[in-house]
Amino acid sequence: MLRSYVVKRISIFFITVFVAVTINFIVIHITPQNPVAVLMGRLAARGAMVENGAQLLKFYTERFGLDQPLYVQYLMYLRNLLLHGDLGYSLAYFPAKVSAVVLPAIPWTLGLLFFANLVAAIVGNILGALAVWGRAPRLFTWVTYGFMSLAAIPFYLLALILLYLFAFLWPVLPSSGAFTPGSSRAFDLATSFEFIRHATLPVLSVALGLIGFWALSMRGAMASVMGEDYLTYARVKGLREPTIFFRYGMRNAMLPQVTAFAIDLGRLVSGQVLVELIFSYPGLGLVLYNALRTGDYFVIQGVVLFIIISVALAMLLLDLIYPLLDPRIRTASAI
Amino acid sequence: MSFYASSEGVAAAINRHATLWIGVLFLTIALLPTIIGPLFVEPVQGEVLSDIPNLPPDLSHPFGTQSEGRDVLAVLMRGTPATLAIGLIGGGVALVIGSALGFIAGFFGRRTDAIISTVVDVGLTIPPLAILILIGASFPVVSLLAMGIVVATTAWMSSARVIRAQVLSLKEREYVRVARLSGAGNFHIIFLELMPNLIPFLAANFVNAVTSTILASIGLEVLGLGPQQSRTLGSTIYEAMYHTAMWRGLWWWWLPPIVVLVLIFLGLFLISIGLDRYANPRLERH
Amino acid sequence: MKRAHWFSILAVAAASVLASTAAQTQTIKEVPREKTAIFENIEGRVAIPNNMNPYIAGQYLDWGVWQGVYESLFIFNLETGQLMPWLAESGTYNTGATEVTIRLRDGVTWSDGVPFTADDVVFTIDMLKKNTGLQYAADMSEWVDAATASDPHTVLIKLKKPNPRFLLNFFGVRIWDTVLIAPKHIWEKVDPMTFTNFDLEKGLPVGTGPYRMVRSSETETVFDRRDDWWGAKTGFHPLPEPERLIWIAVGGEDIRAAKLANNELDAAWVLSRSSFEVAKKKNPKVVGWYEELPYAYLDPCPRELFFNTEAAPFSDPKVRRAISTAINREQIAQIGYEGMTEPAESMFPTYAPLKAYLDRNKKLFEEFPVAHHDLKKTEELMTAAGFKKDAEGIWVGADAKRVSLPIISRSGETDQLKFGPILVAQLKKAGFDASFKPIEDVTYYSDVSSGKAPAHLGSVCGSVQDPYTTFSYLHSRWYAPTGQPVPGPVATRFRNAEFDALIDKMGGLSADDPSFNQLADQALAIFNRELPVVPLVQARLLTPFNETYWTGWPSAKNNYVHPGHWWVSGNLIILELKPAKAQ
Repeated sequence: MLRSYVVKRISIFFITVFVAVTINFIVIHITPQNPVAVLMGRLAARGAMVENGAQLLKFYTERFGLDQPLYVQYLMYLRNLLLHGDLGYSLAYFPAKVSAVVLPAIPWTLGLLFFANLVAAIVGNILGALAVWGRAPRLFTWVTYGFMSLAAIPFYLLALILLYLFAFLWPVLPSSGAFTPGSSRAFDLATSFEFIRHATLPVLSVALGLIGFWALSMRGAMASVMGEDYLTYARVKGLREPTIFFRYGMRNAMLPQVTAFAIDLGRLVSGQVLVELIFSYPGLGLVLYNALRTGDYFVIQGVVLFIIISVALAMLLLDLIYPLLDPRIRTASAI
Repeated sequence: MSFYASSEGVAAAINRHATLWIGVLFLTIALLPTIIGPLFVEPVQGEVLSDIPNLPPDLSHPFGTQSEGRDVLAVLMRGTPATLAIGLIGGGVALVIGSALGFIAGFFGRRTDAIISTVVDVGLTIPPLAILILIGASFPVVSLLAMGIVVATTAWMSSARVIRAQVLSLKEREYVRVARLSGAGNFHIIFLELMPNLIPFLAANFVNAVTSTILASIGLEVLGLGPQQSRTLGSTIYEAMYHTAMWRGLWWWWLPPIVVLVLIFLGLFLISIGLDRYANPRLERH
Repeated sequence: MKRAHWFSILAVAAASVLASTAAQTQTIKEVPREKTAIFENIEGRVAIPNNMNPYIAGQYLDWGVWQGVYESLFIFNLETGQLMPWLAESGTYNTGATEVTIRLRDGVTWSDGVPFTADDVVFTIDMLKKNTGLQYAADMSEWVDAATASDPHTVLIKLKKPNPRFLLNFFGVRIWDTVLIAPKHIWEKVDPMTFTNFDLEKGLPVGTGPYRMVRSSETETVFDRRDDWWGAKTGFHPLPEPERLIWIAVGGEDIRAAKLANNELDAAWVLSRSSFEVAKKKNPKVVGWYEELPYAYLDPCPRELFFNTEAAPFSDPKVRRAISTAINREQIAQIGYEGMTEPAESMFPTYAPLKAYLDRNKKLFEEFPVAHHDLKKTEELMTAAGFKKDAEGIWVGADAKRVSLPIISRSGETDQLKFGPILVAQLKKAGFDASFKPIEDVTYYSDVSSGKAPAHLGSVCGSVQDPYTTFSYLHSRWYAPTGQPVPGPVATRFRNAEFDALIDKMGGLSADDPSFNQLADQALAIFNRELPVVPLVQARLLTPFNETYWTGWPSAKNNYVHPGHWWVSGNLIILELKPAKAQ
């Protein structure tokens, strides 16, 4: 039973990756565009002398294999990807490779994702549970409603409002970047403090929108846990209320949340990309946006591919961990 | 499952649906500029150069003018229905495709289910923005209809998943078993037994699909990949941004579309919760 | 999950994030803010922070490498109109401009101490000729027959055809960039196509400039002053004052304005008029070129409306001229640019020598009123071209089809985004079925180059002194049939044998030659009559400076050089900076 579940999840992962790679490739190449012409046009637009462009055009077309028929390019792409892990060359920044453009941005996006979710999960779970716990003040219920309203608003709009409030109106937080320019970037307290200051608005934009989600699902899960026998038993045993709350109530209610989170991961990453853009946070969002603007096909392919693979991987991991956490689920194959 | 089936009384029933009605209220407020607007301005004032740019709000321009000389209220009058239209078109397409496929998967099970579920699972993994960016960058999206269809391509999958789960659970209900035992054909079961019970779910699903599609369309528009020329709320915000309206203090330009969007999202959210409760009264206990 | 579990996951995640970010950015010494000058990276971001190869096509190292690490042989000063020798001491042409002799300055050294000699120049030219994929490779192949070093300080270049603008165009930073000389002792050992030219430990990139790169990341590039700069050692020029230069990435115009106002930037990219005024109100030390309107400097690339002159109905010069007179350029300048620029009646920036050229030909503009807003003239021309207005006032041709005018622009050009809708509104009023669509680079360059787009907004960066360069882009050698990409920067597909002949003759003559003016005037007559390109407005770029930490920025009052701090000539600005607070 368990084995078939695992096999199923793993095969879905590989199918996802394959489909993603193919769709990625197709959509980009389906339009009859000439990226080398882009290169040339941009050169010229900046006033650079391009007297014998035909030569340059021909050279780069051959170099990037753009004169081959589509299926040949597809096979070349697949071969490079699977055998060498090679995503190709960046068009805009040749001879840099796509991986050189994409990889440095990854820790920033992951970091933002991680910290935003951490903050949201902690605050949200506590709020949600408190909202249901009979012995907590009614205030928490209202605060939860407030955050649920914020959850309905796209991260991008929240980010704009936060940007205006805290970077323009009362300039207390930096409006962009990850570090102050010229900082020593040593492993010291000052650098860490800056790092946190610069990360605050981006993290908040995402976290504020997520708290509601965590609170809501915790509330639902907690509510169904509330009537469970083991809670009554714990009370009878004389355990203190907060202990019961954290160790028995919340812990068990968190499991379904993990799945719900996994399902929403794709949407979450999409929203975060726009937030990175607003704050010029050096993550994948910015790389994707610049690649879009400069027509750097191969980088766009690389970023989209990376996003899809990592989300699929995360979901796979969560799917695999889940039955370990809750033995009751091990046999479930329906939902 | 009739409207007033609960034994708690009318007041409680209204309270149960309060969320729904508050949501509708928010949507109405969001549409206020569109409804009342024509009393103050003509739609043609939403065109470029219709008046002096950057005027603050006053009687003749309740929301002032923006940097191209367009009257902001006129822009809202045009943009709000446009954004909602994209949502409705996209949501509708997503719902139709999603529920059809979800239904087929849930009802017929086995192979069909396996194939459709795999496609949906794979699709759900892919961040919508990634695909939309790919499409938007390669094929410049101009019309509202095109925009609706493009964003629907990423929104139908959650509908499919939810409807499938619902069909799976309904399939095992008593009345379906009875109908089958008494020899009723698939057609009868589908349209006379299952569908009526699915309607509340479809409604809730539709609202969610509309929310997703509007969300996705805004994502594209703020990257500059959607319909241009202030035709939607998202593109109005995009233009306000690259005209640096925030920095220049032109709050009457960037704030109203954001407020309208927030109201739309909140409204749809509350309606969705309200419909959820209606479809699934068990949630009411808490 | 147990709490201990959560914390350990947390710790590992945090540590890895910090570690990875620290790993890719080098630790550097502390330099106080008042000894640092902070510039904006106009490219937005450094995509490849570990490749400093200036010869790869598309590499614009205008975030400090051009300005601080490298220096040019000659520098054209837009303000003085002179080609200043810098690393070179002089450059002379023979009669007929088929040979150029460059005499190099004594005492110039590379940052690793090796002397800068004529061998480096010869090597660079040969390297470019040999490697077709490099920037300027095609140009060197086309013009240079042979380059030789007759002694360590003299370079003799034999040209294949006469070119009196050779030094200006290729070694003089005519507009923005130029051919940079490579240190032979480093580049002769590598493959110039793949050499990254980046190794901070070894001191790469090696140039002759007074700064050395110490950190390179996507969002920040840092250069520290090296006190053994040849200029200070030989007494040519004192060391620049800033001990450190930093180029940073800035997200958008509003963030740029905020950073200027908060003194986080000393030199910025473009601001619109009202953004600048708000910034200036918050921080009076934010300055432009002029103290009052138009604040902004006149950039060499005027904004124009281009046509694919092969695509009907734009193949008819009458139609093109009709469109031109339908446009109200004043309104575009007032509303699109908030009054910060002026109408352009030609493709030339109105620098003194070019303005004189235009003034001399006033009669041509009376005969063909290019920039004159006159709807009656539009009617006249369109009717003469065989068009009639339909019931809704839109022009229709003999085939009863409406004259559709779809204009595209590159979505990255914010100023075009701002005036595009206004232009369209004007054209619609004049009876053209016009539309405006900003699109991404990919599609834009493709459609423009292949001719698929019948009309587009853009600019030509060409002439700065005499009309030859800009007009040369309209030569038929840049023609390719619609459907194929054009082999050059301008895609008008204009073919006029008379015009070609004039351009060919002008190319071999310098502007002081007595017959040059006559040819130039004749060319202008043809241009105004045919109007393959419709000039719109002059380009005024407002790139503000901040005087809180540094003074000495170029301005109208102190116009020692033009304010292009992102050009290779930016080094001239850096050398003039003085600390604002007395030390």
